[in-house]
Amino acid sequence: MNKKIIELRDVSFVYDSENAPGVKALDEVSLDIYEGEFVGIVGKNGSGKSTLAKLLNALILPSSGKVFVGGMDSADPQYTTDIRKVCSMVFQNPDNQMVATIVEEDTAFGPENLGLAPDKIRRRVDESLKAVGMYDFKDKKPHQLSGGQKQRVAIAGVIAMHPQCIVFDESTAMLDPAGRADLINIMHTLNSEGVTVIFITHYMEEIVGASRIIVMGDGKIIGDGTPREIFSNPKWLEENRLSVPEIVALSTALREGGLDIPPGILSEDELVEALCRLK
Amino acid sequence: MSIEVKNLSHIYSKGTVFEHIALEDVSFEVGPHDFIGIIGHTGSGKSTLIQHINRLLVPTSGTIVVNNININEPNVPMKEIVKRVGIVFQYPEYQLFEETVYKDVSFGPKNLGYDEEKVDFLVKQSIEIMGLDYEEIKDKSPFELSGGQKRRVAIAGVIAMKPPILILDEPTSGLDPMGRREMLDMIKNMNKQLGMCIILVTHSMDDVAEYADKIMVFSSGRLMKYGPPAEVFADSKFLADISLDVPQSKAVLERLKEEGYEIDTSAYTTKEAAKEIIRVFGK
Ligand SMILES: Nc1ncnc2c1ncn2[C@@H]1O[C@H](COP(=O)(O)OP(=O)(O)OP(=O)(O)O)[C@@H](O)[C@H]1O
Ligand SMILES: Nc1ncnc2c1ncn2[C@@H]1O[C@H](COP(=O)(O)OP(=O)(O)OP(=O)(O)O)[C@@H](O)[C@H]1O
Ligand SMILES: [Mg+2]
Ligand SMILES: [Mg+2]
Repeated sequence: MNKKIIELRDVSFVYDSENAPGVKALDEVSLDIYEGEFVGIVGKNGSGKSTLAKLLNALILPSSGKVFVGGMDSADPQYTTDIRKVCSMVFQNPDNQMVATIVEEDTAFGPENLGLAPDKIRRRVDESLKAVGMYDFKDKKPHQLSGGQKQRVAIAGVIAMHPQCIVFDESTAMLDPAGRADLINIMHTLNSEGVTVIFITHYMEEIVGASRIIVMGDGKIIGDGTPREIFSNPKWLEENRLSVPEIVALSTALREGGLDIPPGILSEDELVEALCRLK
Repeated sequence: MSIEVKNLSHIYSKGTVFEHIALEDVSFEVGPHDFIGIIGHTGSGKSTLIQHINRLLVPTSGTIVVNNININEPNVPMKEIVKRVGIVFQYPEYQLFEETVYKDVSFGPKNLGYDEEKVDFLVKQSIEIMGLDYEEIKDKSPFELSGGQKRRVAIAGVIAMKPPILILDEPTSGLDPMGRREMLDMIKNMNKQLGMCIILVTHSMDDVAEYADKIMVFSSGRLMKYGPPAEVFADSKFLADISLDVPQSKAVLERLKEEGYEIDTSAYTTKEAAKEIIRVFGK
């Protein structure tokens, strides 16, 4: 078994403010994530996904319970910087993430903060911008980019830091179909190189290739299993404001229409194969 | 005609090193009760286009006529445009700026000069249309909501003005799957029951296939295709070449055809595709 990279022990998180006192966003959550896993996280709006993500990066600290990242206690201030080196985040909105006034400076920001040598920084910036298809835009200003282009630049900035674990919080939301497919490929490539990937999304078909899916509901983990297990129960998913990938919906419709399609189909390839076997 | 765009071009930062042609000679017409989907790769000019329709951007060349008014004539007041065209922007949560949800949603209708009672009614109605609990949320700060909640509040603020033309730039991104469906059903209702003209920008091929009556396809600032879904999705190779896709169930039909089955690939919704597959593979 690989090493634990993330450990949550009975973690609760309460947002406290004047207008909304005591919103319990996470309720005694315990969770272990191991190095090399590709974890998809789904759940209805407001179920606590982003709150969980922010805890993994020590952006917020648990109201009660413990969060360990790479074995380091997130509540101990001496580890904050190291925790962020281990675990980086791509936020829901790229605008929150852009810091510099030129694209390539933005990508260089992280590596510079790591104190890398200039030639190494240069290499990482180029390689990351190429990985997200934004190398030709390296001299542009962030406000000159379209929504999807900003998102890609934000991702390049994180990749350039070579973290052990990356949390993507709805990072595909503004991308076109090709860009989405590219980014998911990038995630799988990083994962095959040993990076732990945690991918929060509302698009079920994007996580059929995950090694594990966690389902959140009202601040608690209500499901944890392989994609095949999780997507085998459309009714339960719907009750929790989720859905199944389109291919699963199509397979179900075919089965209900009398075709002998085995359960557990998740991808286009699998469905086409099953149909070809029929005739 | 509700919207008439003629030979529209837009060049950002003209004459500088950053010069960028974002729209090139775009012409089209949209009817008063149409439901139009707009698709196109990242950076193809979709957001640039819709910002012209309420004069947030001014054409480099070309004209835009909305309900018979040339909106770039100097004597047309902004208020007249805002009344006719409501836009939900790509990241609408950035349009949130008031201290409470109520104040935020009431901003538009108040600006249109409605009395307190009408404003009250519109705010409550729009928040509820968006599937939020009015009493629970009205006094909260918009900044203390989750991503999807913020988005719903932002959209409520635009709907509250009841514009006859409603343009939405990726309104469903950030919503949970059920919320996405509810939002699209709600938009469809505004189109069918209130007769509102809808223009929906999206990266989801499945969503435009299921909801739009006509689809515009943009690539590199040009309008490449404009027609009903069946026509637009007929050429999957063309779409793939410009970074787009066909709906997933249609992709399955095409794969089956490649495998040598005699199957009609024209269906583009899950329901229709299932029917056709059962016709061919059932006994
Ligand atoms: N800054 C904040 N102040 C107060 N409450 C907050 C804040 N941020 C989030 N919340 C509340 O905490 C709960 C969990 O929010 P969180 O952002 O973690 O949800 P999420 O699962 O990421 O949702 P989404 O899918 O909409 O992004 C929600 O009820 C939300 O309203
Ligand atoms: N202010 C600006 N200055 C210069 N170029 C710009 C500016 N705003 C946008 N652009 C460029 O114009 C092109 C069109 O951008 P636009 O935002 O309209 O694309 P889009 O189709 O909405 O893309 P997305 O799907 O990513 O939102 C892009 O290449 C973008 O980089
Ligand atoms: Mg979130
Ligand atoms: Mg856009």
